[in-house]
Amino acid sequence: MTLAILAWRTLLRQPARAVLGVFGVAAVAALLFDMLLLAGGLATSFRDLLDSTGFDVRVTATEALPGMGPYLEGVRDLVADIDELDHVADVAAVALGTIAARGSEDQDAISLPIQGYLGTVRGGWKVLEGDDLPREPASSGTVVINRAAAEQLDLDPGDELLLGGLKIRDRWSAPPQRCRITGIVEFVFEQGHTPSAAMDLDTMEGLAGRKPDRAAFLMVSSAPASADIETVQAIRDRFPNLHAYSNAQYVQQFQAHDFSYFRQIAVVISTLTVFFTFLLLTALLTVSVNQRLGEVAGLRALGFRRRRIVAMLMWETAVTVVVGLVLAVAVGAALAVVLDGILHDMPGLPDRLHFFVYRHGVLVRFVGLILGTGLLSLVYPAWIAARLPIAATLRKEITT
Amino acid sequence: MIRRDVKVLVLAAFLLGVFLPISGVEVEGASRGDILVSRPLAEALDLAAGDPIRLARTRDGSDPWPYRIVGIYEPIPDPIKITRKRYEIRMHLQDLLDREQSSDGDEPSRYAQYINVGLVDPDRAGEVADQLNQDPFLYARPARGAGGDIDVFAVLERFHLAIAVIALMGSCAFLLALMVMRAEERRETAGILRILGVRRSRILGEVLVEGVLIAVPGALFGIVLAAAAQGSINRFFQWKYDTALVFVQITPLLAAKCLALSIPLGVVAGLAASWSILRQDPLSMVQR
Repeated sequence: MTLAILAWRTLLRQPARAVLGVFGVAAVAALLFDMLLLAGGLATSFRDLLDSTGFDVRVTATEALPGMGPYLEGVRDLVADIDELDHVADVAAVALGTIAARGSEDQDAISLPIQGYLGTVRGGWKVLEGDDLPREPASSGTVVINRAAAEQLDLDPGDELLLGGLKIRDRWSAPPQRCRITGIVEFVFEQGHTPSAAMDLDTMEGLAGRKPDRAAFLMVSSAPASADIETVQAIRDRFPNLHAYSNAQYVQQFQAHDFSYFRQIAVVISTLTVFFTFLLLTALLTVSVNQRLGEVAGLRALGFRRRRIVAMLMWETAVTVVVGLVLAVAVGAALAVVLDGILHDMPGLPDRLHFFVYRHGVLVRFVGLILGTGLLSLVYPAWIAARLPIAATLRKEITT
Repeated sequence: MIRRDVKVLVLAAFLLGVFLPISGVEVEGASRGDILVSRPLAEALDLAAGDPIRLARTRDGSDPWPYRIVGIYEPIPDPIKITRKRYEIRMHLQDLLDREQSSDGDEPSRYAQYINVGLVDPDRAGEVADQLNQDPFLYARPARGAGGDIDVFAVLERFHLAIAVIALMGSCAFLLALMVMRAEERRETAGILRILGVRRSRILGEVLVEGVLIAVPGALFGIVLAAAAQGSINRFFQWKYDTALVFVQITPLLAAKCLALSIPLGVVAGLAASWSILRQDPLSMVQR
């Protein structure tokens, strides 16, 4: 009989204990799996969001995240100047604002966050229904809205959206302006059921009745032969007062400052979980060995060598840990969805930003940590079993 | 004092707050040239209230302007920005705008991120906001309820609770496993007692009392340990992140919750494990 089969039968002899041990490992390991997903998940997800816009460099007036700091002034000249740089393929400017919006004159207004977009290559949204904003300058007076705005205002592509205006006691003191909806879109940084819209910067300035010529940030895509870092350097050299960052640099900044709390808590809880698993497995195995001292002494008396006894215990631990691991991955994946849902209630988070994200290497690290912990937890019980005085233990077993 | 006098804070983009977030605020009756310094910055540069200080917008500290520190303030703790060094100052908005004008020689942009407005009739806040929101480059909203219904701390609390529940489930499984092993150890003794005529309920009663005697000191020990450790944990993380945030706080209510949860769990685990043995035939329990 091989040691693996012997270990398996030992576990089957006390199924309740074996099942509970497996469940215990599964629950704690599931938590560890989730913490490993959390440790870098937010940064990965944020990077995916940035990359999905199709632009690899952002330019702002300060180090603040796009949309969080002061505006870039003289944005039309700036876009033209940056577009001329060798490393640059495309440039787009984005102004952010909010305006009252209605589907019809008798409807109550909703507060509609809007993007004023300047650039020929679109980025930051995906068309779900209808058409994108027209690319030619004649696109003024057109708008794309997201599903939430379409549902709240009961509008479809081709309908007119009433923007701005002021209605006091059912009378217009300032009439709204009408924009044609070309399509329903999904924004990359869309938040929950928040309605949003995008239009050309000219249209946005037309709604304001003035031309501030400014934007919250620029999005730049590097030329095919240029690396993002080269584009960043070229912009910094040409415009030393501006702040240019590649997506990777933004993620680095994001990871170091914003939301780093989750990375920290993931590290702390992972450490505690590993320690907890070690403690509990050691306790289980130690009690298990102590209950079977007579059996172990008997095997030794039959000629089993110390290392075979230790190997048998190792197999027992391996079965418990491996079955627990498989369960843990399934349970952890389900729990990650639940925990992600809880954290997603935080205000201002884009729908597509996730805290628990699977990345290359997470599974390897997870399995390594749990198996390593299992091996460590085996040390003390294995020492008890290996150092057992055979004759004294058998005598004690018979007399008690 | 002389050393502090010559100390120049280097601000690469003074007006835009690149190195240090600078807030310009207008306070009625306050003197121009007075600034407030955040505690982490004051500690880092050894500054105190009353110290003169010079601020420049270039890395080499050229063309500095003199200010006077009138107070040190503790930045509002924010768990999301926990790893940020809160090197911040607050100054009069007009000081900020004057500085911009004199440095550039151009027309200042008069940029401000937000303006707080006090209304004669606060009930008309929504109406005033609607009026201002005609301009898409402005965003006005009534201050009341502006923070939204959900705050970050409440979400974090729910998240921590969920993690605690998962950890508790794991602990319960292990606890039950240990209790089953303990019951197995006593299988023979329990079998002999059953053969001698002792009823199951009596044995279970003994297990119950024993469970309470183990669970109560165990739970109390856990709370005492947590209470003893909370000071060290808080001090460590407050030192690590240079924040006034309190990370662990063992309140009487929390301790009561822990006791209410852990004692019944310990006792029930013992009873469940014993019942799995006791429901068997007494002869099979003594393995005869």
